[in-house]
Amino acid sequence: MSTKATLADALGDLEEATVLETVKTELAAGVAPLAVLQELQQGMEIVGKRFEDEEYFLSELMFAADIFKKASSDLGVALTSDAGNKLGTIVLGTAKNDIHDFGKDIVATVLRSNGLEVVDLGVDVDYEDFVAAIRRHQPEFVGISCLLTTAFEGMKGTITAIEAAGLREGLTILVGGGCLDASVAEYVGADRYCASAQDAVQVARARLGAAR
Amino acid sequence: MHSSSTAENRLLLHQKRDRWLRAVRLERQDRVPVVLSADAYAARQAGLTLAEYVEDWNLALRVTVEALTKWGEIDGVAMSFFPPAFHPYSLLMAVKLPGRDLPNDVMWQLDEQCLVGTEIYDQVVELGWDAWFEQFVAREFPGLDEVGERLMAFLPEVHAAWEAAGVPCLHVDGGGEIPLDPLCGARSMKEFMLDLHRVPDKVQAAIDVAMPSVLRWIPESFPSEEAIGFPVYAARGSSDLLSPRLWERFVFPYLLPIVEATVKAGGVPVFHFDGDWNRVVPRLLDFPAKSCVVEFDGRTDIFKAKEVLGDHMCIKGDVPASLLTLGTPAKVGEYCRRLIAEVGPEGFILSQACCIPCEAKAENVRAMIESIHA
Repeated sequence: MSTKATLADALGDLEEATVLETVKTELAAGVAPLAVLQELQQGMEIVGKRFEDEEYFLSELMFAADIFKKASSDLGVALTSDAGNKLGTIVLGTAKNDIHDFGKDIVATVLRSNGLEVVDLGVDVDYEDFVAAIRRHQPEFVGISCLLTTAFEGMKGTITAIEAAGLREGLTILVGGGCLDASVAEYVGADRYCASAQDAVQVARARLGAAR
Repeated sequence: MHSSSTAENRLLLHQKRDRWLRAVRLERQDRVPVVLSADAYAARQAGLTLAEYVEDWNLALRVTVEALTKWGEIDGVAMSFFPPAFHPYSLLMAVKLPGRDLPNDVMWQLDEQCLVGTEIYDQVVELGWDAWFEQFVAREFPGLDEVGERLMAFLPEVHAAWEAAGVPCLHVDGGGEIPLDPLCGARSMKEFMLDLHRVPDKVQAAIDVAMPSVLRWIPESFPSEEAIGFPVYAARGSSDLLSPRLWERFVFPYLLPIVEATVKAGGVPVFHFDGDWNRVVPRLLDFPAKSCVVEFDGRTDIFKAKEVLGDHMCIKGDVPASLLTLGTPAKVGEYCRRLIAEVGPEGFILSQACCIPCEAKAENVRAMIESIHA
């Protein structure tokens, strides 16, 4: 088995110590940080596949993303400025009047470990902050997290503000959270309801897969 | 309002309890019972701000009874009264309250933060659960004990108000939770999920130390000889969170003794299973037949659950928050009729998912209640 396959497989198998050790070994041997990162992303693809196959669940997804985060932090600053590796960008935040950050944070972590740049606006995000971030970062995606029925109007208001600013075209707006379903996505004017963080990864890959 | 002392009212309360118990036992009866819970919805219906609802318990109780008895007969309440300020006691998470931490009319919300490091597990083992819990609550949530004492003193008034309105309180106030829940709350979901992979033996040791305290409280929970529901919580134990390996280690083995202790004490375990429990529904067949209730919140497929559980366990639920908030009376009625036909009529209790949401439309709540008489 090649080293590359070992690193991706080790992450796929959630072998934290092996992943961290292998990254150090590869960097010491002169492997380019970007190549190492791509191996780690292959590992996250294995994790994603196992999630879809219901072998892994949320805790495994989070553990894998945390290993990825640790391992990729060893790859150095040069990597963070390498736009060539970026699959796409998402502006993400929790709906106005909702302060829950857990679901949003999971989505952010999992998307980052799958190659997306995440612009995290935090919780209880004002409409104009979403609009400003879209203008600045030109994302392909906007993600709005929500755990309260009282924040449905906050999601709807955000999307209305994005439309009013003339920024809706070409943007894929995703919503997710405990009390949501497809009917809520339709009500607020989103493109997709995502039942899980991995769902968001799938949507992003489906739209951007060819660009990678 | 009826007087709770009248023989007529006592008979009505008895009939409703009996209807609930027949559903638990999956017996045939006149109709499906409807059992509800509400809090912020009642505030909205009464035109109160959420801050007013949180602050004034007497007012909150009055408007909640009014909101749930407005549209015709209901067979009971599951959650009689729960002040939002008391949330940290069960999940060891802070709560942000309207009027205190949030604007007056913004919904109260749990504020999940990592309050302690992985040393929590050794501390629990060293001190024992009760001593550790007392110290932790005093340090992280000052004043919470006073809220608890005030609540205990208020509960007789709560029960009297519901019974005077002809509505029995079908569940014990409080209930039991698997020890995973408070540990997860104190650590935060993210850190706890990582702990399950990085320090699983320490987590399990703490859970094992906590478990006797959970069980010890159960026999003391039942106020009378009448059969009553004992809520069993596992907020962080749903099958979408944990792989089979973790679920079989950290969740199921701790549900089982809670169920056994509750049944032995003469109570009815009521699993409050919010989230996606689809994968593990077959494991509910391991619990005693016709002795428990499982309530779902719309994320578990209640129709498939019925196919799996058959006549083994009563199912309660699950009119979704989105339907009550965004739907129409016709859609709600249609969904309720499907529930009654496919999950019931025997062994089914009609209910909202979790708790009636704040922004539910009154006409949708009405349609839910009226569907049992259709």
